[in-house]
Amino acid sequence: MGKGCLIAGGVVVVIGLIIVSSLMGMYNGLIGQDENCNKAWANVETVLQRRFDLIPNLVNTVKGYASHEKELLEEVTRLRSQWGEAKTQNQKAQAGSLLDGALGKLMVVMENYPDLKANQNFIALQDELAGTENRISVERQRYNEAVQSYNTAIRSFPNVILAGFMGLEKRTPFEAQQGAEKAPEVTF
Amino acid sequence: MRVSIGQKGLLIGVLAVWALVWQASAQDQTDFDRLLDSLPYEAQVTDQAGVLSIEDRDTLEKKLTDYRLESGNEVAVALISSLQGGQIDDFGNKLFAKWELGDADKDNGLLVLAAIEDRKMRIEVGYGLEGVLPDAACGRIRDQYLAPAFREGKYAKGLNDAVDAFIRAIGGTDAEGSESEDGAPVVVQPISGGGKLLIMLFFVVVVVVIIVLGNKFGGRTGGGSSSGGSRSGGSSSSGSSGFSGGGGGSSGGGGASGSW
Repeated sequence: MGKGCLIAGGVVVVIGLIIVSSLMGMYNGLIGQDENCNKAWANVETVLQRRFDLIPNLVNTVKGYASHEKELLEEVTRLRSQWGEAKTQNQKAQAGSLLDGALGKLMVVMENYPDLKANQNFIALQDELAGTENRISVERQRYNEAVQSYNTAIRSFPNVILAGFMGLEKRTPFEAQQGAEKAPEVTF
Repeated sequence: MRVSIGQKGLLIGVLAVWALVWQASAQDQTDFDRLLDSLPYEAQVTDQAGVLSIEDRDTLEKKLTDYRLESGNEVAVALISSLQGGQIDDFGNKLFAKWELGDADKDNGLLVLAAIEDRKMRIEVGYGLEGVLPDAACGRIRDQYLAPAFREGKYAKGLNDAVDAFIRAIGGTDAEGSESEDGAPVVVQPISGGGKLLIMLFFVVVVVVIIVLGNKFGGRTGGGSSSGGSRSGGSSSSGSSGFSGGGGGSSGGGGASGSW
């Protein structure tokens, strides 16, 4: 009699433990995914901040050579402060892409100023800006990968049930920029 | 009798869960990865385009391996013929990530990539070297050494001079891994491998305990059940002989690009 009870009890305990441990695993997995996204977003903000810091220097250098482009420079400065004031993730992302456009335009316009293009300071700034833009696209891509993996995780069964309880919501990846010179996805 | 069926069922169940967890951990490959596969990291100088003479390549290789030995900094050169329509910035970053240049904790790697037919180049700097090699410095080395020599088809000269300049800029000593901390890349992983292993280990322990208990109390329940316990999952990928490969470093798009 004792034997049967013990086995039955053991099986119940084991099944219970299996359920608990798999729930734990799922929970930790989802938390990890969520944290990955947060970390990736923090990296995006770091590189956006880098660009933010670079802009005043750029604007000042350009001003001396290209006084005709006053409006464009003001636009860049305005968008920069708009980004600085943005609070939510969505606002920041939006202001960031507007800034992308304005800076891209500025870089094209600069081609018309040979004196400026020969300026050592400007060349260095241009390299820094190009490097920063590249960093932004790298970190954005990594953020999108993290978000994609997270979104898949929270919507797949059985995670979806747990994710509902945990209040995890779908995240929005960056959209591919239209008309940008740099495509986020490369197709060979 | 009933006991052994229960054991078997449980064992099968556990194995099924195990298989599922393992399967989930297998990464699915994308087309991009497959393209990168054509560029294995077998030497610090990779000349797929075939524009370097063997002596030039060996000289450069020796310079880079010596530098790696004395400083720990890992500089790699890759010459490909064409990007096949891809972006060099993106490709450089992906190649760097694949080759894992530099140490994992220092991220002190550097990649000089050139697509000869496209006349495009990329200098990709590991996180840890961003401090000593800012983008503007990379741009200067590109304008001063790489582009002029490449324009004349003197690839070996351009690379040699550029590498010397990089070494001068980085310095012989170990780079401070100061920037690698906050800029560390995000690794996308489904569920942490350690956690999974722990759960599986737990299952195995439970099964073993059940079997042991069952045998103890069941007396003569056919001692046939062989323990399916210890299966080592340690599949260490054996590296190729001689060349030690990348150290696990990463980069985040810093550096400079250009054409000639």
